[in-house]
Amino acid sequence: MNRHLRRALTGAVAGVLASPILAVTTGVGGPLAGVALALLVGPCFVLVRRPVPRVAIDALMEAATFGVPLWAMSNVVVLPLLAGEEPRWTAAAMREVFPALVGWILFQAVLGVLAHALDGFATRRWGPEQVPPVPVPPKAVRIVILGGGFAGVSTAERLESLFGASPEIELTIVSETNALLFTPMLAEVAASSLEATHITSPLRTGLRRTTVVRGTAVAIDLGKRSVRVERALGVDQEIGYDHLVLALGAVSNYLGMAGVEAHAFDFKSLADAIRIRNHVIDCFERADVEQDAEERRRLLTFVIAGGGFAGAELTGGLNDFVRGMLPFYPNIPRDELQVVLVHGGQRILNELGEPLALYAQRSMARRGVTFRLGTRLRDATADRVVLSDGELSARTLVWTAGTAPHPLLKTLGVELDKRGAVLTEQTLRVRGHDDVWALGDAAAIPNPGSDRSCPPTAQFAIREARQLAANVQAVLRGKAPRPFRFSPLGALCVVGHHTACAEIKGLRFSGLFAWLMWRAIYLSKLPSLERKVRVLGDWTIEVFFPRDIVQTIDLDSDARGER
Amino acid sequence: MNAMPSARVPVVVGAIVGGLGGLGCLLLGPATVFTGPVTGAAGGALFGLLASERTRGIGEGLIWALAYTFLLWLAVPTGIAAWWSSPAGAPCEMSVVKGQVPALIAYLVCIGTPLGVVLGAVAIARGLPAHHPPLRVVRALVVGGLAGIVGSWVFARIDPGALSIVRGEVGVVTGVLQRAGGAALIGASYGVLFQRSVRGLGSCMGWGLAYGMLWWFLGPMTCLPLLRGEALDWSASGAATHYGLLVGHIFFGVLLGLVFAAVDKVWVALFIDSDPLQREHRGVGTHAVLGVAWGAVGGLAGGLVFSLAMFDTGMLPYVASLVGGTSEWLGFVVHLALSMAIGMPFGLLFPREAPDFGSALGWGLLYGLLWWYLGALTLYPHLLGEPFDWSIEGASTALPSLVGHLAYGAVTAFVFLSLERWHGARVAVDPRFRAHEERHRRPTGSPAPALWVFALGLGVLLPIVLG
Repeated sequence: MNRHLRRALTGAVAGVLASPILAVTTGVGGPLAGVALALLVGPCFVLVRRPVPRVAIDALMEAATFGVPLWAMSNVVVLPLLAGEEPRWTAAAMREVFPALVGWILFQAVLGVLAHALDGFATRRWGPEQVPPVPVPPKAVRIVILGGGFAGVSTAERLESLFGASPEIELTIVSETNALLFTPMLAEVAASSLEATHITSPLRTGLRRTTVVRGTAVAIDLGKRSVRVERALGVDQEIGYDHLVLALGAVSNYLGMAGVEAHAFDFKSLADAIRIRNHVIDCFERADVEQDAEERRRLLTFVIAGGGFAGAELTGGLNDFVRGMLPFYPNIPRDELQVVLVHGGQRILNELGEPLALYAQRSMARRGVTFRLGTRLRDATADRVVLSDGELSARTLVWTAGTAPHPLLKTLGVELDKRGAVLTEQTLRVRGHDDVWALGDAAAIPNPGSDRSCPPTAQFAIREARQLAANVQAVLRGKAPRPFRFSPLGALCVVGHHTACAEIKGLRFSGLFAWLMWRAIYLSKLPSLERKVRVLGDWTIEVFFPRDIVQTIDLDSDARGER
Repeated sequence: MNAMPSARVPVVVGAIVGGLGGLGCLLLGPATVFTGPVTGAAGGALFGLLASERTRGIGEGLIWALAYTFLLWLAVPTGIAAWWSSPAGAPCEMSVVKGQVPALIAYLVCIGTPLGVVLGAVAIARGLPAHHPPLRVVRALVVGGLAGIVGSWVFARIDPGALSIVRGEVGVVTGVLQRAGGAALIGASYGVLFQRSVRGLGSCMGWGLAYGMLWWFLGPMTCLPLLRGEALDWSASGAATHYGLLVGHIFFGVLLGLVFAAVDKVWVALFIDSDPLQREHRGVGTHAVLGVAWGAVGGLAGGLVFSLAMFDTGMLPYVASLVGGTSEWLGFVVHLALSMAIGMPFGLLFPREAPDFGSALGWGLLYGLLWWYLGALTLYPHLLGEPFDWSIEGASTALPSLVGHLAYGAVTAFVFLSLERWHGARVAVDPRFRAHEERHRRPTGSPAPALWVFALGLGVLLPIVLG
């Protein structure tokens, strides 16, 4: 017998057997009304609350609990309304129907016990309830995401959200790190304003049903639909897929300058930021004991190549950090310290309007930054930076001037743009491949209303991820994918203490207000409440205490030389 | 000689304790031979049979037995016996029930309390496995005692006259020491009795509410008059005179439970959950924030349902007067805002308390009842600048909103559990989270249903009967 029918019958029989209590207490419509109410309530109760086997007292009490609301619902509100009267809200009116309150409580208690007994009888007589067989899930569609940056992780999160616990899909993400790095705050780590791990969010805690594979994708076979991943200890793993999402991001592009590649610090990962911070502190430690003035100048000259967002923010933060450190190194003359920003254009921050860029430039210059604009980097050695218009003696060079899409993309045999990014359709599908999708820095996505592709920013990557996940779901459900469209909201850049510039939907802000806006917006974007609290803690501590100058890793005498 | 089969022990013990309790009822006056010793022995035996699986501790036994005795009173003295003695009259009539109020108090004091305590103690003595985690005696005594003292101190600031049991009325010793001692004793006993049953803030409040009610029956209605050398007055009029004290004891119990849970949570956070092997995967804060949001949504839905009664009873202009207006629609908006605000704490108080919708409704009804006492009876008059009235007349005046409050609580809890389940289904895709959620959710088989019957039944019934 169907279990619902069986429960309904159990409830009906129990209800009828207990109905005399209602018939004599409700005082409405005679005994038949009591039976009718019992037939209504009994099956409903047992359908919702099947008694726990062997423990009658549970059923008795649980059922009796509902005596009060059933009395309120029926005798106070519904029955008077059916009789064309006002509900019995007042104390006097409630007291008139008080016997029904006792009746309902006792009826429910007896109903619970009888339903328990009848359920036990039915189990002994006809066996346990027939539980419908659990449907065998169809073979899951394997979705593999390559890349653990904003694009890849946002795609995984969105797919998890769209599919929930559905067994339709199997999700795998391949990432070189086990955490998502919140890159907008990376400069603050290098500048010792934030603890390094506070701006990263572990993939294994953030993602709930995605298998996290920490490793590097080294080969993709689009024909066999498989990805070869190099994992720790040199172990390779083949991962098959039905849908592949390319979110590999970008790598630094040194434009063929081998000397720069060998001696400059990269500024893309958490390790890079930690390395820069420690190197800067190390330079100060050495300069503090260095007797040779020329060598001391080299140690205290910090060159940043590239005046985009990353370069400008790093320069501003680093400048605050090194100048804030000076009082703790009394042997270092203030005038020997130099922070230099080298940029090929005539102004920094091309992504922002000219007034804001000039504001940022002036603010940084006022705080001690030296600008070498219209100047290109030509080469670098361990203690020298060669520029298009001269040389700088420096032991620190940070490269932020160029990136290129991940080199693995070149091995795919798909259409690429001149930067090396995968050309996609408006739907984020890779051209000519129905089962391959691309987004973020690795993709060249048509940008409606512009002759250029969508810019490789986190803002775009997150929106692309949402659309891509929706499109994958649509395709799996037999629907057509929809084109990606997004109008950027604006841009924000922090260039020093209480100094930032922002352009939001054409509106320009600068100074303290923009700085507060920057902090508020990026704090809200930082994944997980826990990380938000940690970062907020760091910022609060910074208000009262100087930045930390403890070296957290043991650098060799010249980190650049080993690169 | 053969030992008694284990299944019969609670039945025999229940019959003896119930019979003796019934005899006590008979000797004290409110019961006859049938409603006293006979019903006590039969009822005790039946309780032993039905509840032996559940009474594995004194606290558990007490709650199950109190609820059972309340139902027994409804069934026998006010139902069968009254009908038997006067078949022509309608059963359970108000006059009959009023006349049986002494029997109610006698049943709870002489039958229910000893039955639960003895059967629980017997289960412990027999070494029966408990359903819940082992009792941490030191934690229970320290936290409970502290909660009792803090609760009574806070309460004394609100209404120094309403808390007879801890305010030094026994006439032997008076003063601060006695108050603190009494409160600490009640708090410590609460901790020892219920530590294993309670889970979060909400269930602590629920158990506190029931415990406060019990202390009203034991204290101002029974022990205090005896200690003063006065005759017991268990009549309906006598109980009505002390109705304000009942409200006071309910609030003290709720406060006791709340402080107990808060202190216990701090204890657990500092000494247990801070252990990385124990702590919640996502952090407590995440769940709390979500709970508040779901509670607000639930409160809004509950407020909408409640507003039907508010419209019908013409209460909305009075609600509008809280913000200085008179319009019905302004009252509606204020009512919804208050409903949301009251729904928010529900999310903090009752997370993972309900394993199913039936349980959710049980907790929700209790929450609604509590807000009737707290809101309609206390805060609402206070906010309008009037003194609150905890007398039975005041309760009668506030009765029209009782059904609305119950509906509000039920709907809030229903929506809250729906959202909690929706979120749980999303979280459950990760087996770690699924296991964690299942471990933290209240299991079935706890005394919660008995608590609902006892607290909800008496909480609704007494203001109607005594008025």
